[in-house]
Amino acid sequence: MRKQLLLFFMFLLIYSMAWAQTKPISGKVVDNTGELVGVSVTVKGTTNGVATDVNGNFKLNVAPNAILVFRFIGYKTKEVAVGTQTQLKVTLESESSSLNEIVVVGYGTQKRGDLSVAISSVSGKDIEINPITSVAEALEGRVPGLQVTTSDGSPNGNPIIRLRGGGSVTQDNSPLYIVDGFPVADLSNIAPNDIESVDVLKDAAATAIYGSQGANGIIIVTTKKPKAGRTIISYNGYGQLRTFPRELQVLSPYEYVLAQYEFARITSQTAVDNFSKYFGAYGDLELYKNQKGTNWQKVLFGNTTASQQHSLSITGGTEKTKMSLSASDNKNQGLQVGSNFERIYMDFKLNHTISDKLTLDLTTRFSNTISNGGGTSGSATAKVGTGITTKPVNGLADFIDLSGANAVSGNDQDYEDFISSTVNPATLAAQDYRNVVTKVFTLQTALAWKVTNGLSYRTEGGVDLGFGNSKRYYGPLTLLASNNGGLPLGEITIAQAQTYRWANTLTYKFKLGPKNVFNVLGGQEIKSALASANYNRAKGFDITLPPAKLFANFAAGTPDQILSTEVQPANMMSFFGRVEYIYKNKYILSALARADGSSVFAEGHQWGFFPAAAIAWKIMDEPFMKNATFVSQLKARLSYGAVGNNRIPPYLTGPTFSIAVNRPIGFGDTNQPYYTYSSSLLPNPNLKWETTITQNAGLDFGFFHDRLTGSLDLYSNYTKDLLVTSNIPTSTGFVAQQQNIGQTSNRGIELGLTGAIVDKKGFRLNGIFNIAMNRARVDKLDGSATEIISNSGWASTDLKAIDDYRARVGGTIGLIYGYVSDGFYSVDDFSSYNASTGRYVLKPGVADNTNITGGISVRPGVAKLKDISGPNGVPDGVIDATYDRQVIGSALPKATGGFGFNASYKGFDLYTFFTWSYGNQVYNTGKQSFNMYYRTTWGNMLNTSNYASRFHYIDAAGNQVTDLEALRALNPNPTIASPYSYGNASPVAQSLEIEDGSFLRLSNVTLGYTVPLSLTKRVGISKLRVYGTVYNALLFTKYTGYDPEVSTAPSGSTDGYNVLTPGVDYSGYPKSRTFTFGLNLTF
Amino acid sequence: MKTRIIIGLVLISTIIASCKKFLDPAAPSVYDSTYIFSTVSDANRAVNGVYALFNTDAFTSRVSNNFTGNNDIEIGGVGSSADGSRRDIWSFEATSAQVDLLAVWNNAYNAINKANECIAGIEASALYKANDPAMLHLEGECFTLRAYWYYLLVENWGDVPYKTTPSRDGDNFYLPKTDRNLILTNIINDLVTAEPKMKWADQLDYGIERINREFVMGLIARLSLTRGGYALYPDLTMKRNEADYLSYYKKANDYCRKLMTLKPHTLDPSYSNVFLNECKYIKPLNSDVLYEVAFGPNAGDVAWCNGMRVDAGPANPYGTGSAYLGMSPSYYHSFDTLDVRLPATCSIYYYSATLQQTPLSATSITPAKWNRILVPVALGTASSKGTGINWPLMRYSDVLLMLAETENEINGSPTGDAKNALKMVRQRAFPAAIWSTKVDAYINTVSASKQTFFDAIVNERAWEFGAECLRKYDLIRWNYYGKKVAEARNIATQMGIDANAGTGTYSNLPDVLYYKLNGDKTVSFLSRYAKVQGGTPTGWTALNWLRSLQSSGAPSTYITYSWRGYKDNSGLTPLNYMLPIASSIISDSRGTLKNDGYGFTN
Repeated sequence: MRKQLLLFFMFLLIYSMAWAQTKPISGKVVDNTGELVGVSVTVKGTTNGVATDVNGNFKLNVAPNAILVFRFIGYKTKEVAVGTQTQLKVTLESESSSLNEIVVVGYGTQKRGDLSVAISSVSGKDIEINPITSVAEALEGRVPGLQVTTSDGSPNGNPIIRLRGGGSVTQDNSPLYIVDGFPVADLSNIAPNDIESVDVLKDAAATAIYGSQGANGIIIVTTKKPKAGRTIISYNGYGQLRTFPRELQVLSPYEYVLAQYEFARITSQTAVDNFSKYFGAYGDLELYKNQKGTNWQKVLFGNTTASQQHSLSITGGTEKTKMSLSASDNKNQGLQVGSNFERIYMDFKLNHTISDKLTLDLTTRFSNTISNGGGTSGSATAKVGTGITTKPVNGLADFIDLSGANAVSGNDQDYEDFISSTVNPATLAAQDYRNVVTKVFTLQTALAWKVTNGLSYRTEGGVDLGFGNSKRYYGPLTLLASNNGGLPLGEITIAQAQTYRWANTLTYKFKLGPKNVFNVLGGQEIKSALASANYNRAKGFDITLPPAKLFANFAAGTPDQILSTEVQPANMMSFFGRVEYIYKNKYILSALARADGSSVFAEGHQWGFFPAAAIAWKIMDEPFMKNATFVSQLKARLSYGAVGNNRIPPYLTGPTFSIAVNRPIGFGDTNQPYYTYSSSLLPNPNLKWETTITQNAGLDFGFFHDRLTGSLDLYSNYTKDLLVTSNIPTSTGFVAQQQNIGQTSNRGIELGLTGAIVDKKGFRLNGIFNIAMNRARVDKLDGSATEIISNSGWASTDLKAIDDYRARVGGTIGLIYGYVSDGFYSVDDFSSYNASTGRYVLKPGVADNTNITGGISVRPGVAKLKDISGPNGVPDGVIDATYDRQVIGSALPKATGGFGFNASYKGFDLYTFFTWSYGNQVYNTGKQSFNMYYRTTWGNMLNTSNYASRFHYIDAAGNQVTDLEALRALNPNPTIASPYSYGNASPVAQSLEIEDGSFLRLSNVTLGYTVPLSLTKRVGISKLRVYGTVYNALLFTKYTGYDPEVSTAPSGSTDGYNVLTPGVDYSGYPKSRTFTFGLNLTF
Repeated sequence: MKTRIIIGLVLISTIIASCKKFLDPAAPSVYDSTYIFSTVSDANRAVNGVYALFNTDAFTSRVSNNFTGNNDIEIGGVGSSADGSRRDIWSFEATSAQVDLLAVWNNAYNAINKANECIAGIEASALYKANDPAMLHLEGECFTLRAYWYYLLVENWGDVPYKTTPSRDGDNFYLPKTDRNLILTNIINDLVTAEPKMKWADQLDYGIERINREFVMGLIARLSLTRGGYALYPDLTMKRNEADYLSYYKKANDYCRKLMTLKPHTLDPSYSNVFLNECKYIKPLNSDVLYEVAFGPNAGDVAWCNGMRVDAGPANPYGTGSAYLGMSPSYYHSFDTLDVRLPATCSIYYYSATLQQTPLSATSITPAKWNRILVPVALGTASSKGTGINWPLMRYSDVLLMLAETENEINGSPTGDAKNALKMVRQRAFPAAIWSTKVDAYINTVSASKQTFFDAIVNERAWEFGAECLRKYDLIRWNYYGKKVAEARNIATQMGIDANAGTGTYSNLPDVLYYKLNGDKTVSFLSRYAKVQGGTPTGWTALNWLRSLQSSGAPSTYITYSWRGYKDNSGLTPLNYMLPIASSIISDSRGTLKNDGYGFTN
């Protein structure tokens, strides 16, 4: 009994002691800048926990021997033993060491320190700081070797993203985009504010796990995960003004009429009479000096437009169930009259821990994009050129009916140009009304099962549903309408796309002894992409019907064309595996392989196998590095691997047939649908995977306690069995065939540096710098072929000669090919002038190139092309396409990169970022087409062709000077050939259009101010930052066109970029300069 | 145990099978050749795809008319010097950089390959093997379409690559040139085989809008005359195969005769009605037109670039007709003034924006055969191309004149059949009241010798087919191209001189035209064909007519520009009508094709 009593007391004692020892503890969590809000504070081993309040304070009851765990995103987790303390001040260290950064490597993650492959990352914090409208914009200039070009300054333009030059010469060289593990077509459906991090996988040892489609690198976007703890609401918003950064100088009204007069004067008396009818007699032209004229560039693009974006996100939950919801609305007004777009994103995520072993992730994403306006590229009616070539004054024409007998009686091709040249370009833009609504709905689920310690299984499935509704209106002034009775047409395309994906992976991590760590992954994946479209065209609508009404009342027109297609599903089946072996935590070996079966190939060629291996050596951890204290990290990497590319359209292995309605035969006055080949390319049943082999050597380093960190990578890739759309003789009935031919290679070097330059007393200055140099080369082509010939198509079939690009074996791609400009014919080139025929006689041996330039007959001042060679290998006195063209430019840059500074002092932060490109040439087509009357009637030209600069033929009295010596006297120092050298439809691909495209752009400068927490916390705000940003702030370049970053689409191109014809300035929509004012707000 | 193995094997094979199926998914919107040629209606749609290649710019405004000038009757406007545009084709100055050359070449081979595809598909089909008449006819259509495109290639480029099977991977893509005579012989033989299996237009769903048996017969005759006629060779000489040329005249003769016997057509008694029907979308059977290219609503360029000029204006619901093809003044004045074909072929006025008939100058006479104003439903104020008017490829009068020509050639003198055929054509051209002089007496006179009759055929074909763009090909096969161009230039020059001098051969023709714009928007001319003596009569307005063929005492630019690439005024040297192969075709050919010969430098 006593024993029992004793036990009871003892129990009581212990109990009461324990009771008594649970004590309240309070504290404050800070970092080196101040209080931290929302830090999770838990008692280790229990679920007992709180989060810090807006002052960074917390209160908790704990046992004295308790250990508190402080967790906060972006900071190192800290454990503090409570002991006897009742008041704690905890300072969290930010996770500055990049070695511990988690990097997404495809079907898994890894610590950066353990990587054996080349991966560059951009964190969400870097992205958040700036008001960007797309993920691609965030990557611009930030990742060594990644080139981001905004293809078209239009508000909805898709950027071109190329990694390490892109190996393939097929149509698509864009990297593979993976968002939260799921491949997506592009990044436009991801709100930039939702991004946690972006990882760019560069070498094959990194990308081979994705096998096919990894050939051009992989961009992995990880969106923000829901966070447990206090519910956090944040708001980010900005307002933006867009302006037209650069205007090209055109002829003044007086110069304009003078040029038109000169053209008429040297053409014929009839032309002069006609000119006088429109603009008055020569003697009266002085009056135009007083006229201001219309600045059409300003009318078309000069309006400063306002845009705005608002994002709101909410996240919270318990450790077991977390959720986040974010929504963004981006309204973007384009520079061009009538162009704008609006995009709404919604993103909902739920993470639920079902049991200790099972977790479920659920993500749904929705985006809705509405874009209006025809843009200026491709088949747009209003081209940027219209802003330059439209006549600045109407002369007397205001009083004359232009449409009647005075109309230009042109021929068919000229007709549309005649319309464009006589109609206000703003009106013309309205003729090309377009409205495109795209809805994308994504649902992703993943179930993870920790089978045993170390072994885990994950199954994930996803559905992507896309709905597009595209409307296009052809106003009465468009060519299509004029072919259809001059009445408007409308077309509606309703498209659907679905992608299904299911992947299963098994991961096993284990150790063999203390020194050998293994991480093994095996998996399988299937994917299916389906698409269908319905196309409807109706005609004969009333001219008075506004487009929006027209599409709402489609029955008001006459049905014209109906077409529906269901694209053959693109299916893929894959098996993959990866073994990672870490020895002594110093040597890392990884080996991986993937097998892909793709339905785009014919049976027997469907499977591709892509192995890769990499080793890394953490030199830093070697004993001999102990004394090198200035080095904080050092790792060497070496990798080798193969990846594939199957990005080709369906139906290439055929032949198969599809129904078509375009330009049919009209038996019985009815359009007769017909069968035609499903692909315009000659079928090739032997098509197989294109394979890229990458070799990469890299060094990751950090110095001075990681004040300076960086990576250096050297690589050598070669791509064989290139999937090339090769021109074949058209006597086959086809212009091209998709073929596996030849080999290209890319060699390069990339360096990325990040440095904390100053970090004291609240002043921080960080710098980032990166540079990449890439050399692309065509190693070999098929059989006897020594070059790939391509057309940029900038002047359609008018161009002399049309095949203006080459890719040569032993050389690079993107070689611009054309005639060599030789200034203009000088007086000395002629022996005499024959007044009776009105012809100038060339001296013997001087070639006459007016068969190419067209325009006025050969005379002093006419543009001259160089006679390079002839059939016998020497100049033959004849200028022709075969012997007198050569490579006149190279569009690929020698080096590209970016650098920036990031400074903060007290509440202020300043962010600047520069991008640059060096050594590339741009094919400035405007230099040709805007210094002649290219398909315009009464058009204007650039000021470079003003009276004093151009070789002219009229004297002050307006009389034509014909005598050779008199012409010499009249033109003391002309700088440019006569614009009349060229026929109305005869622009020439020639060297004068080639310009240095190097540039340095201050692409982004941001100044922000964070209101001190002490002020904001009173109203429950944990963060309030206001900022202003100028995007495309400054541009330093010798380029004379609108912008040296040129890649807009020629008509008919789908992705807006042709690998084989880079660097063409198609006179696209100019990149705007934007001024942004914004707000970041967190509750 | 065994059961387990079996179950296991079944399971594995099911998985493999489904894998295979997964990687070879069904494609609902595409069909293979076997399916398409298994029914007549689908095979029809495939053949429509070959026809559809007539509805391209390459055909409508290029090879069907722009490529056929300039000659002695049809003239397209040419600028002051070669300018790299398609106008250079008119003036025989095209270079290999001229892109229309590429467009037409590509379109031709596209059509040829699709025809080859259809022929292969049809011949492999069960219906064809069972001698299904619809399938046999479809095959004949494809043979004809292929032959027609080869004909156009050969006429414009001489020797060209020749292929008769649908292109497949593994074929030799780099085909060298094939002798044009071999190509012509082969396509003639194809048609000879196909012809008896084909249907007459009146047995077809779309009559003369589909290729039919009578057209094929006529085409055999035309191709045979081309094969038996002259052509330009790379050494710049005009040659024909003297050994066998006559056998092709005989073949042409046979097929003209066969058509006239098996399926005699009646010429429409009214010449102008033939074209009025086309403008009004009327397609009479067993009449004049044997086959015309069917342009559906808003397709085709007839009466846009070839036809009456009509200027756009708010008060004009018919749209613009640009009329870039013109008729030469020497041709205009070569007609008998009583020939009804003259006003039906040449218009000396156009419609202004207010639809007022307004006079044209002697250098801008337009074709009168097609007129957009006559289309059943007004095309619209802003309309231009896309008139829907069909384009005739052969008329019955062509067959009659080919019969007359071949009779004369084979027999060495005009036979009764030859005279009779010519008579049928001429009778329609003149009112019955004057047949005795204009038909009978005329034919008697021209029948004096083989040569006089031949020259009469040369003239008659000009008058009968003006603006139909057949002239170039006729002149080539007769070796008359240079001769006729020189003649036209000399006549026009002389007309200008005489009109300004008031004396000479042409001084009786109008130097000036006097016209009146009437209240009903028509125009009246005081005297179209004879000079009015004295000053301007009261109430009439003067317009320079033949006078404008001279300017400041020299031939006008119209004369000096139009045929600029051919300098010889004696007409003795061959005219280089050949077109160079486009430069990109040469670059893509890897050395198998070159612009060798014909004086081309590249």
